[in-house]
Amino acid sequence: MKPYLTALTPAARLTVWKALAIALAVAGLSAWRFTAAFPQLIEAGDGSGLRELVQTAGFHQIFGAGLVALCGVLALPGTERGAKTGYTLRRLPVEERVLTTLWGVQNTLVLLFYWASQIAVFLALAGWYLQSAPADTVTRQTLVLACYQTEFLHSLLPMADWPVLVRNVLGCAMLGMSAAAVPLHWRHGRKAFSALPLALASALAFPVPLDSLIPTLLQLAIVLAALLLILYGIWRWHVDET
Amino acid sequence: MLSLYQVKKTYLGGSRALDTLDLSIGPGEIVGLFGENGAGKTTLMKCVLGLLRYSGVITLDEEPITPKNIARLSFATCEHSYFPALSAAAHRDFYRSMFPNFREKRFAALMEFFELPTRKAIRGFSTGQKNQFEVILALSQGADYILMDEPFAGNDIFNREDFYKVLLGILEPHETILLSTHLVEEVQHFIGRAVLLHKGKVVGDVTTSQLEDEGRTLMEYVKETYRYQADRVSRALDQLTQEEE
Repeated sequence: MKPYLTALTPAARLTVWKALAIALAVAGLSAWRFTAAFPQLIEAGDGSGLRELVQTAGFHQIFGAGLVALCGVLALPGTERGAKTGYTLRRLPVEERVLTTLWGVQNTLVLLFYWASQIAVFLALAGWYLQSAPADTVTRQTLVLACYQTEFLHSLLPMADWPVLVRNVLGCAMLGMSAAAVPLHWRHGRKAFSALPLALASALAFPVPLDSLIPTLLQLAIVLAALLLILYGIWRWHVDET
Repeated sequence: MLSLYQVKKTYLGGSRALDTLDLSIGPGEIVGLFGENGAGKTTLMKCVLGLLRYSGVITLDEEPITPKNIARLSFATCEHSYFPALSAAAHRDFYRSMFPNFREKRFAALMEFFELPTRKAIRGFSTGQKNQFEVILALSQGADYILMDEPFAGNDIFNREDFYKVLLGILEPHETILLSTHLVEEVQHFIGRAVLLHKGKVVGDVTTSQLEDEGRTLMEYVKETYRYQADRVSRALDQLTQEEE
Protein backbone atom coordinates (compact mmCIF):
# COMPACT_ATOMS: atom_id res chain seq x y z
CA MET A 1 0.00 0.00 0.00
CA LYS A 2 2.91 2.36 0.73
CA PRO A 3 3.96 2.70 -2.94
CA TYR A 4 0.40 3.69 -3.82
CA LEU A 5 0.25 6.31 -1.10
CA THR A 6 3.62 7.66 -2.23
CA ALA A 7 2.45 7.70 -5.85
CA LEU A 8 -0.49 9.84 -4.80
CA THR A 9 1.67 12.50 -3.16
CA PRO A 10 2.34 14.58 -6.31
CA ALA A 11 -1.41 14.83 -6.95
CA ALA A 12 -2.01 15.70 -3.29
CA ARG A 13 0.77 18.30 -3.32
CA LEU A 14 -0.71 19.89 -6.43
CA THR A 15 -4.35 19.88 -5.37
CA VAL A 16 -4.67 20.24 -1.61
CA TRP A 17 -3.53 23.86 -1.43
CA LYS A 18 -5.58 24.82 -4.46
CA ALA A 19 -8.63 23.09 -2.96
CA LEU A 20 -8.07 24.95 0.29
CA ALA A 21 -7.71 28.22 -1.62
CA ILE A 22 -10.98 27.58 -3.49
CA ALA A 23 -12.80 26.67 -0.27
CA LEU A 24 -11.46 29.82 1.38
CA ALA A 25 -12.34 32.00 -1.62
CA VAL A 26 -15.87 30.60 -1.69
CA ALA A 27 -16.16 31.12 2.08
CA GLY A 28 -14.86 34.67 1.82
CA LEU A 29 -17.15 35.56 -1.08
CA SER A 30 -20.16 34.02 0.67
CA ALA A 31 -19.37 35.92 3.89
CA TRP A 32 -18.85 39.19 2.03
CA ARG A 33 -22.10 38.84 0.05
CA PHE A 34 -23.98 37.72 3.19
CA THR A 35 -22.79 40.60 5.38
CA ALA A 36 -23.29 43.11 2.54
CA ALA A 37 -26.89 41.99 1.98
CA PHE A 38 -27.70 41.92 5.70
CA PRO A 39 -28.18 45.71 6.34
CA GLN A 40 -30.27 46.09 3.17
CA LEU A 41 -32.58 43.32 4.33
CA ILE A 42 -32.93 44.87 7.77
CA GLU A 43 -33.61 48.31 6.26
CA ALA A 44 -36.25 46.85 3.97
CA GLY A 45 -37.86 45.26 7.02
CA ASP A 46 -38.06 41.93 5.21
CA GLY A 47 -39.32 39.38 7.68
CA SER A 48 -38.23 36.33 5.68
CA GLY A 49 -34.78 36.65 7.28
CA LEU A 50 -32.09 34.03 6.90
CA ARG A 51 -33.75 32.27 3.95
CA GLU A 52 -33.96 35.52 1.97
CA LEU A 53 -30.43 36.48 2.93
CA VAL A 54 -28.99 33.18 1.64
CA GLN A 55 -30.81 33.64 -1.67
CA THR A 56 -29.85 37.32 -2.04
CA ALA A 57 -26.22 36.54 -1.26
CA GLY A 58 -26.22 33.93 -4.08
CA PHE A 59 -24.90 31.07 -1.93
CA HIS A 60 -25.94 28.47 -4.48
CA GLN A 61 -24.20 30.22 -7.37
CA ILE A 62 -21.01 30.78 -5.36
CA PHE A 63 -21.01 27.18 -4.12
CA GLY A 64 -21.62 25.90 -7.66
CA ALA A 65 -18.82 28.00 -9.17
CA GLY A 66 -16.48 26.77 -6.44
CA LEU A 67 -17.47 23.16 -7.10
CA VAL A 68 -16.79 23.45 -10.84
CA ALA A 69 -13.44 25.18 -10.19
CA LEU A 70 -12.51 22.48 -7.67
CA CYS A 71 -13.31 19.67 -10.11
CA GLY A 72 -11.15 21.44 -12.70
CA VAL A 73 -8.27 21.66 -10.23
CA LEU A 74 -8.65 17.98 -9.29
CA ALA A 75 -8.70 16.86 -12.92
CA LEU A 76 -5.63 18.87 -13.97
CA PRO A 77 -2.75 16.85 -12.40
CA GLY A 78 -1.70 14.08 -14.72
CA THR A 79 -3.27 15.59 -17.83
CA GLU A 80 0.21 16.00 -19.26
CA ARG A 81 0.40 19.73 -19.78
CA GLY A 82 4.04 20.45 -20.52
CA ALA A 83 5.32 16.91 -19.97
CA LYS A 84 4.34 13.27 -20.38
CA THR A 85 3.89 12.59 -16.68
CA GLY A 86 2.12 9.38 -17.62
CA TYR A 87 5.47 7.90 -18.63
CA THR A 88 6.58 8.24 -15.02
CA LEU A 89 3.27 7.21 -13.47
CA ARG A 90 3.10 4.11 -15.64
CA ARG A 91 6.68 3.15 -14.76
CA LEU A 92 6.04 3.11 -11.05
CA PRO A 93 5.83 -0.22 -9.24
CA VAL A 94 2.09 0.25 -8.88
CA GLU A 95 -0.92 -0.82 -10.94
CA GLU A 96 -2.24 2.20 -12.82
CA ARG A 97 -5.90 1.24 -12.45
CA VAL A 98 -5.59 0.79 -8.69
CA LEU A 99 -3.67 4.07 -8.49
CA THR A 100 -6.39 5.89 -10.45
CA THR A 101 -9.11 4.45 -8.22
CA LEU A 102 -7.21 5.55 -5.10
CA TRP A 103 -6.67 8.93 -6.75
CA GLY A 104 -10.46 9.08 -7.14
CA VAL A 105 -10.89 8.29 -3.44
CA GLN A 106 -8.43 11.08 -2.60
CA ASN A 107 -10.42 13.47 -4.79
CA THR A 108 -13.63 12.34 -3.09
CA LEU A 109 -12.16 13.25 0.30
CA VAL A 110 -11.22 16.69 -1.02
CA LEU A 111 -14.78 17.20 -2.30
CA LEU A 112 -16.24 16.01 1.02
CA PHE A 113 -13.97 18.53 2.72
CA TYR A 114 -15.30 21.25 0.40
CA TRP A 115 -18.86 20.32 1.26
CA ALA A 116 -18.07 20.25 5.00
CA SER A 117 -16.26 23.58 4.78
CA GLN A 118 -19.30 25.20 3.16
CA ILE A 119 -21.55 23.80 5.92
CA ALA A 120 -19.16 25.28 8.49
CA VAL A 121 -19.20 28.65 6.72
CA PHE A 122 -22.97 28.67 6.55
CA LEU A 123 -23.34 27.72 10.23
CA ALA A 124 -20.87 30.44 11.24
CA LEU A 125 -22.73 33.05 9.19
CA ALA A 126 -26.07 31.82 10.49
CA GLY A 127 -24.73 32.11 14.05
CA TRP A 128 -23.64 35.68 13.36
CA TYR A 129 -27.05 36.41 11.83
CA LEU A 130 -28.92 35.05 14.86
CA GLN A 131 -26.92 37.36 17.11
CA SER A 132 -27.10 40.42 14.87
CA ALA A 133 -30.68 40.35 13.56
CA PRO A 134 -33.41 42.18 15.51
CA ALA A 135 -34.62 39.91 18.28
CA ASP A 136 -38.24 39.97 17.03
CA THR A 137 -37.21 38.47 13.66
CA VAL A 138 -35.37 35.41 14.98
CA THR A 139 -36.47 32.42 16.99
CA ARG A 140 -34.87 29.15 18.09
CA GLN A 141 -36.37 27.62 14.96
CA THR A 142 -34.92 30.14 12.47
CA LEU A 143 -31.95 28.01 11.43
CA VAL A 144 -33.93 24.78 11.15
CA LEU A 145 -36.69 26.51 9.21
CA ALA A 146 -34.23 28.09 6.81
CA CYS A 147 -32.75 24.66 6.12
CA TYR A 148 -36.18 23.20 5.48
CA GLN A 149 -37.47 26.07 3.35
CA THR A 150 -34.42 26.81 1.21
CA GLU A 151 -33.66 24.17 -1.41
CA PHE A 152 -29.93 24.94 -1.45
CA LEU A 153 -29.60 24.91 2.34
CA HIS A 154 -31.61 21.71 2.55
CA SER A 155 -29.18 20.03 0.16
CA LEU A 156 -26.15 21.52 1.88
CA LEU A 157 -27.31 20.36 5.30
CA PRO A 158 -29.90 17.60 4.70
CA MET A 159 -30.00 16.57 8.39
CA ALA A 160 -32.36 13.58 8.57
CA ASP A 161 -33.07 13.49 4.81
CA TRP A 162 -31.02 10.34 4.14
CA PRO A 163 -31.57 10.10 0.37
CA VAL A 164 -30.14 13.63 -0.09
CA LEU A 165 -27.25 12.82 2.24
CA VAL A 166 -26.45 9.63 0.32
CA ARG A 167 -26.82 11.48 -2.99
CA ASN A 168 -24.32 14.11 -1.83
CA VAL A 169 -21.77 11.53 -0.69
CA LEU A 170 -22.14 9.51 -3.89
CA GLY A 171 -22.01 12.75 -5.87
CA CYS A 172 -18.64 13.56 -4.30
CA ALA A 173 -17.45 10.03 -5.18
CA MET A 174 -18.71 10.40 -8.75
CA LEU A 175 -17.00 13.78 -9.26
CA GLY A 176 -13.82 12.64 -7.51
CA MET A 177 -13.57 9.47 -9.59
CA SER A 178 -14.35 11.37 -12.76
CA ALA A 179 -11.59 13.90 -11.98
CA ALA A 180 -9.16 10.96 -11.60
CA ALA A 181 -10.41 9.13 -14.70
CA VAL A 182 -10.03 12.06 -17.11
CA PRO A 183 -6.22 12.32 -16.77
CA LEU A 184 -5.93 8.52 -16.99
CA HIS A 185 -7.74 8.51 -20.34
CA TRP A 186 -5.77 11.53 -21.57
CA ARG A 187 -2.50 9.82 -20.68
CA HIS A 188 -3.54 6.93 -22.92
CA GLY A 189 -4.50 9.27 -25.75
CA ARG A 190 -8.23 8.78 -25.29
CA LYS A 191 -10.75 11.58 -25.35
CA ALA A 192 -12.49 12.13 -22.02
CA PHE A 193 -14.17 15.27 -20.79
CA SER A 194 -16.69 13.98 -18.26
CA ALA A 195 -15.36 15.83 -15.20
CA LEU A 196 -16.46 19.37 -16.06
CA PRO A 197 -19.94 18.58 -17.51
CA LEU A 198 -20.63 16.37 -14.49
CA ALA A 199 -19.45 19.13 -12.13
CA LEU A 200 -21.64 21.66 -13.91
CA ALA A 201 -24.67 19.35 -13.82
CA SER A 202 -24.04 18.56 -10.13
CA ALA A 203 -23.80 22.27 -9.28
CA LEU A 204 -27.04 23.04 -11.12
CA ALA A 205 -28.98 20.05 -9.76
CA PHE A 206 -27.62 20.38 -6.22
CA PRO A 207 -30.61 22.13 -4.57
CA VAL A 208 -33.56 19.84 -3.92
CA PRO A 209 -36.62 20.80 -1.90
CA LEU A 210 -37.84 18.96 1.16
CA ASP A 211 -40.26 16.08 0.54
CA SER A 212 -39.01 15.42 -2.97
CA LEU A 213 -38.20 11.76 -2.57
CA ILE A 214 -38.82 10.67 -6.16
CA PRO A 215 -36.62 13.37 -7.82
CA THR A 216 -33.94 12.73 -5.19
CA LEU A 217 -34.04 8.97 -5.79
CA LEU A 218 -33.86 9.62 -9.52
CA GLN A 219 -30.79 11.80 -9.03
CA LEU A 220 -29.33 9.14 -6.76
CA ALA A 221 -29.79 6.51 -9.47
CA ILE A 222 -28.18 8.77 -12.11
CA VAL A 223 -25.22 9.55 -9.85
CA LEU A 224 -24.74 5.86 -9.02
CA ALA A 225 -24.96 4.87 -12.69
CA ALA A 226 -22.43 7.59 -13.63
CA LEU A 227 -20.08 6.43 -10.87
CA LEU A 228 -20.28 2.81 -12.02
CA LEU A 229 -19.71 3.85 -15.64
CA ILE A 230 -16.64 5.87 -14.66
CA LEU A 231 -15.26 2.91 -12.68
CA TYR A 232 -15.97 0.61 -15.61
CA GLY A 233 -14.11 3.04 -17.89
CA ILE A 234 -11.11 2.92 -15.55
CA TRP A 235 -11.00 -0.85 -15.13
CA ARG A 236 -11.97 -2.20 -18.55
CA TRP A 237 -9.33 -2.97 -21.20
CA HIS A 238 -9.36 -0.40 -23.95
CA VAL A 239 -8.64 -0.94 -27.65
CA ASP A 240 -5.32 0.94 -27.42
CA GLU A 241 -4.15 -1.47 -24.72
CA THR A 242 -4.65 -4.67 -26.75
CA MET B 1 20.22 -8.93 -19.65
CA LEU B 2 17.45 -7.06 -21.47
CA SER B 3 16.12 -9.28 -24.22
CA LEU B 4 13.60 -8.73 -26.99
CA TYR B 5 12.43 -11.77 -28.98
CA GLN B 6 10.31 -11.46 -32.11
CA VAL B 7 8.82 -8.20 -30.95
CA LYS B 8 6.17 -6.75 -33.25
CA LYS B 9 4.25 -3.55 -32.82
CA THR B 10 1.54 -2.41 -35.18
CA TYR B 11 -0.24 0.85 -34.50
CA LEU B 12 -4.02 1.18 -34.78
CA GLY B 13 -3.76 2.73 -38.26
CA GLY B 14 -1.99 -0.42 -39.47
CA SER B 15 1.56 0.97 -39.67
CA ARG B 16 4.13 -1.52 -38.42
CA ALA B 17 6.61 0.17 -36.11
CA LEU B 18 8.52 -2.94 -35.00
CA ASP B 19 8.84 -5.98 -37.21
CA THR B 20 9.88 -9.25 -35.54
CA LEU B 21 12.72 -7.51 -33.78
CA ASP B 22 15.34 -9.44 -31.80
CA LEU B 23 17.83 -7.66 -29.57
CA SER B 24 19.76 -8.40 -26.40
CA ILE B 25 21.57 -5.86 -24.27
CA GLY B 26 23.84 -7.04 -21.51
CA PRO B 27 24.70 -5.37 -18.21
CA GLY B 28 27.23 -2.56 -18.41
CA GLU B 29 26.79 -1.92 -22.14
CA ILE B 30 26.41 1.58 -23.54
CA VAL B 31 24.37 1.12 -26.68
CA GLY B 32 23.53 3.76 -29.27
CA LEU B 33 20.24 3.21 -31.06
CA PHE B 34 20.19 4.83 -34.48
CA GLY B 35 17.75 5.07 -37.32
CA GLU B 36 15.83 7.53 -39.43
CA ASN B 37 12.65 9.13 -38.11
CA GLY B 38 9.99 6.42 -37.88
CA ALA B 39 12.56 3.60 -37.75
CA GLY B 40 11.08 2.41 -34.45
CA LYS B 41 13.56 3.69 -31.88
CA THR B 42 11.02 5.38 -29.61
CA THR B 43 8.49 2.57 -30.10
CA LEU B 44 11.12 0.03 -29.05
CA MET B 45 11.81 1.90 -25.82
CA LYS B 46 8.12 2.37 -25.08
CA CYS B 47 7.48 -1.36 -25.60
CA VAL B 48 10.33 -2.22 -23.23
CA LEU B 49 8.86 0.10 -20.61
CA GLY B 50 5.37 -1.32 -21.06
CA LEU B 51 4.02 2.00 -22.30
CA LEU B 52 2.82 0.30 -25.50
CA ARG B 53 1.29 -3.10 -26.10
CA TYR B 54 3.21 -5.40 -28.45
CA SER B 55 3.45 -9.01 -29.47
CA GLY B 56 6.56 -11.04 -28.78
CA VAL B 57 8.57 -11.34 -25.61
CA ILE B 58 10.56 -8.76 -23.68
CA THR B 59 12.39 -9.95 -20.58
CA LEU B 60 14.72 -8.54 -18.00
CA ASP B 61 17.06 -11.27 -16.73
CA GLU B 62 14.60 -13.78 -18.17
CA GLU B 63 11.69 -12.35 -16.18
CA PRO B 64 8.83 -10.49 -17.83
CA ILE B 65 8.77 -6.76 -17.08
CA THR B 66 6.06 -6.13 -14.52
CA PRO B 67 5.46 -3.56 -11.75
CA LYS B 68 7.71 -5.79 -9.60
CA ASN B 69 10.88 -5.19 -11.63
CA ILE B 70 10.02 -2.06 -13.63
CA ALA B 71 12.07 0.04 -11.19
CA ARG B 72 15.16 -1.57 -12.74
CA LEU B 73 14.43 0.49 -15.84
CA SER B 74 14.53 4.27 -16.05
CA PHE B 75 13.61 6.55 -18.91
CA ALA B 76 14.72 9.97 -20.06
CA THR B 77 12.78 11.33 -23.01
CA CYS B 78 12.81 14.54 -25.01
CA GLU B 79 9.04 14.61 -24.41
CA HIS B 80 9.89 14.89 -20.67
CA SER B 81 8.32 12.73 -18.01
CA TYR B 82 8.72 14.80 -14.86
CA PHE B 83 5.92 16.62 -13.02
CA PRO B 84 6.13 20.21 -14.34
CA ALA B 85 4.50 21.79 -11.30
CA LEU B 86 6.83 20.13 -8.79
CA SER B 87 10.28 21.37 -7.85
CA ALA B 88 13.47 19.35 -8.14
CA ALA B 89 13.44 18.83 -4.36
CA ALA B 90 9.88 17.47 -4.54
CA HIS B 91 10.96 15.11 -7.33
CA ARG B 92 13.89 13.95 -5.19
CA ASP B 93 11.54 13.18 -2.28
CA PHE B 94 9.13 11.38 -4.59
CA TYR B 95 11.80 9.28 -6.29
CA ARG B 96 13.44 8.52 -2.93
CA SER B 97 10.20 7.05 -1.60
CA MET B 98 9.23 5.35 -4.86
CA PHE B 99 12.54 3.80 -5.87
CA PRO B 100 14.47 2.06 -3.08
CA ASN B 101 17.81 2.32 -4.95
CA PHE B 102 17.48 6.07 -5.59
CA ARG B 103 20.97 7.59 -5.78
CA GLU B 104 20.67 10.68 -3.65
CA LYS B 105 24.36 11.61 -3.81
CA ARG B 106 24.39 11.33 -7.59
CA PHE B 107 21.23 13.44 -7.81
CA ALA B 108 22.73 16.16 -5.63
CA ALA B 109 26.05 16.08 -7.49
CA LEU B 110 24.43 16.34 -10.90
CA MET B 111 22.08 19.12 -9.74
CA GLU B 112 25.11 21.02 -8.50
CA PHE B 113 27.14 20.32 -11.64
CA PHE B 114 24.41 21.71 -13.89
CA GLU B 115 23.60 24.48 -11.42
CA LEU B 116 19.89 23.67 -11.42
CA PRO B 117 17.67 25.29 -8.79
CA THR B 118 16.14 22.84 -6.33
CA ARG B 119 13.15 24.88 -5.16
CA LYS B 120 11.82 26.15 -8.48
CA ALA B 121 9.00 24.35 -10.31
CA ILE B 122 10.43 22.49 -13.32
CA ARG B 123 8.02 24.26 -15.66
CA GLY B 124 10.05 27.43 -15.00
CA PHE B 125 13.29 25.83 -16.27
CA SER B 126 14.75 26.58 -19.70
CA THR B 127 14.53 23.84 -22.37
CA GLY B 128 18.15 22.88 -21.77
CA GLN B 129 17.64 22.72 -18.01
CA LYS B 130 14.52 20.59 -18.46
CA ASN B 131 16.50 18.10 -20.56
CA GLN B 132 19.26 18.06 -17.99
CA PHE B 133 16.79 17.45 -15.19
CA GLU B 134 15.09 14.67 -17.14
CA VAL B 135 18.42 12.89 -17.56
CA ILE B 136 19.39 13.52 -13.94
CA LEU B 137 16.20 11.78 -12.79
CA ALA B 138 16.83 8.81 -15.07
CA LEU B 139 20.42 8.49 -13.87
CA SER B 140 19.52 8.88 -10.21
CA GLN B 141 16.58 6.48 -10.07
CA GLY B 142 18.93 3.61 -9.27
CA ALA B 143 17.95 1.62 -12.34
CA ASP B 144 20.19 -0.98 -13.96
CA TYR B 145 18.95 -0.14 -17.45
CA ILE B 146 18.72 3.54 -18.38
CA LEU B 147 16.78 4.24 -21.55
CA MET B 148 17.31 7.64 -23.15
CA ASP B 149 15.27 8.84 -26.11
CA GLU B 150 16.84 11.90 -27.75
CA PRO B 151 17.59 13.30 -24.30
CA PHE B 152 19.71 16.18 -25.53
CA ALA B 153 17.32 17.67 -28.09
CA GLY B 154 17.49 21.42 -27.54
CA ASN B 155 20.80 21.38 -25.64
CA ASP B 156 23.84 23.15 -27.04
CA ILE B 157 26.98 21.26 -28.02
CA PHE B 158 28.93 22.27 -24.86
CA ASN B 159 26.15 21.04 -22.64
CA ARG B 160 25.98 17.75 -24.49
CA GLU B 161 29.74 17.18 -24.38
CA ASP B 162 29.78 17.93 -20.67
CA PHE B 163 27.05 15.41 -20.20
CA TYR B 164 28.85 12.61 -22.05
CA LYS B 165 31.93 13.20 -19.90
CA VAL B 166 29.92 13.24 -16.70
CA LEU B 167 28.05 10.11 -17.74
CA LEU B 168 31.22 8.19 -18.45
CA GLY B 169 32.61 9.34 -15.14
CA ILE B 170 29.68 8.37 -12.95
CA LEU B 171 28.35 5.17 -14.48
CA GLU B 172 28.98 2.03 -12.51
CA PRO B 173 30.08 -1.15 -14.34
CA HIS B 174 26.66 -2.81 -14.13
CA GLU B 175 24.71 0.21 -15.37
CA THR B 176 23.47 -0.11 -18.91
CA ILE B 177 22.56 2.74 -21.23
CA LEU B 178 20.37 2.51 -24.32
CA LEU B 179 20.65 5.87 -26.04
CA SER B 180 18.49 6.77 -29.01
CA THR B 181 19.88 9.70 -30.96
CA HIS B 182 20.59 11.12 -34.39
CA LEU B 183 23.89 12.58 -33.23
CA VAL B 184 26.00 9.71 -34.59
CA GLU B 185 29.38 11.40 -34.70
CA GLU B 186 28.91 13.05 -31.36
CA VAL B 187 28.25 9.88 -29.40
CA GLN B 188 30.64 7.53 -31.20
CA HIS B 189 33.32 7.87 -28.52
CA PHE B 190 30.78 7.52 -25.75
CA ILE B 191 29.02 4.33 -26.81
CA GLY B 192 30.41 0.81 -26.95
CA ARG B 193 27.91 -0.62 -29.37
CA ALA B 194 25.68 0.70 -32.14
CA VAL B 195 22.34 -0.80 -33.11
CA LEU B 196 20.79 0.44 -36.34
CA LEU B 197 17.08 0.21 -36.98
CA HIS B 198 15.25 0.52 -40.27
CA LYS B 199 11.50 0.08 -40.69
CA GLY B 200 11.24 -1.63 -37.31
CA LYS B 201 14.03 -4.14 -37.90
CA VAL B 202 17.61 -4.34 -36.68
CA VAL B 203 19.70 -3.78 -39.81
CA GLY B 204 23.04 -3.23 -38.12
CA ASP B 205 24.63 -4.21 -34.82
CA VAL B 206 28.29 -3.53 -34.20
CA THR B 207 30.64 -2.72 -31.34
CA THR B 208 32.82 0.35 -31.58
CA SER B 209 35.91 -1.81 -30.94
CA GLN B 210 34.99 -3.86 -34.02
CA LEU B 211 34.80 -0.65 -36.03
CA GLU B 212 38.14 0.49 -34.67
CA ASP B 213 39.72 -2.83 -35.66
CA GLU B 214 38.30 -2.43 -39.14
CA GLY B 215 39.48 1.18 -39.30
CA ARG B 216 36.03 2.54 -39.95
CA THR B 217 34.12 5.31 -38.26
CA LEU B 218 30.62 4.89 -36.93
CA MET B 219 29.31 7.36 -39.50
CA GLU B 220 30.83 5.30 -42.33
CA TYR B 221 29.23 2.18 -40.93
CA VAL B 222 25.86 3.92 -40.65
CA LYS B 223 26.05 5.22 -44.22
CA GLU B 224 27.08 1.80 -45.56
CA THR B 225 24.31 0.05 -43.70
CA TYR B 226 21.66 2.43 -44.94
CA ARG B 227 23.25 2.46 -48.41
CA TYR B 228 23.42 6.21 -48.19
CA GLN B 229 23.65 7.72 -51.65
CA ALA B 230 25.93 10.70 -51.35
CA ASP B 231 24.92 12.06 -54.74
CA ARG B 232 21.16 11.91 -54.13
CA VAL B 233 20.91 15.64 -53.35
CA SER B 234 22.72 16.69 -56.53
CA ARG B 235 20.65 14.22 -58.59
CA ALA B 236 17.42 15.54 -57.10
CA LEU B 237 18.48 19.13 -57.76
CA ASP B 238 19.42 18.28 -61.34
CA GLN B 239 16.03 16.64 -61.85
CA LEU B 240 14.19 19.62 -60.36
CA THR B 241 16.05 22.19 -62.45
CA GLN B 242 15.47 20.11 -65.62
CA GLU B 243 11.76 20.01 -64.88
CA GLU B 244 11.67 23.80 -64.49
CA GLU B 245 13.43 24.27 -67.84
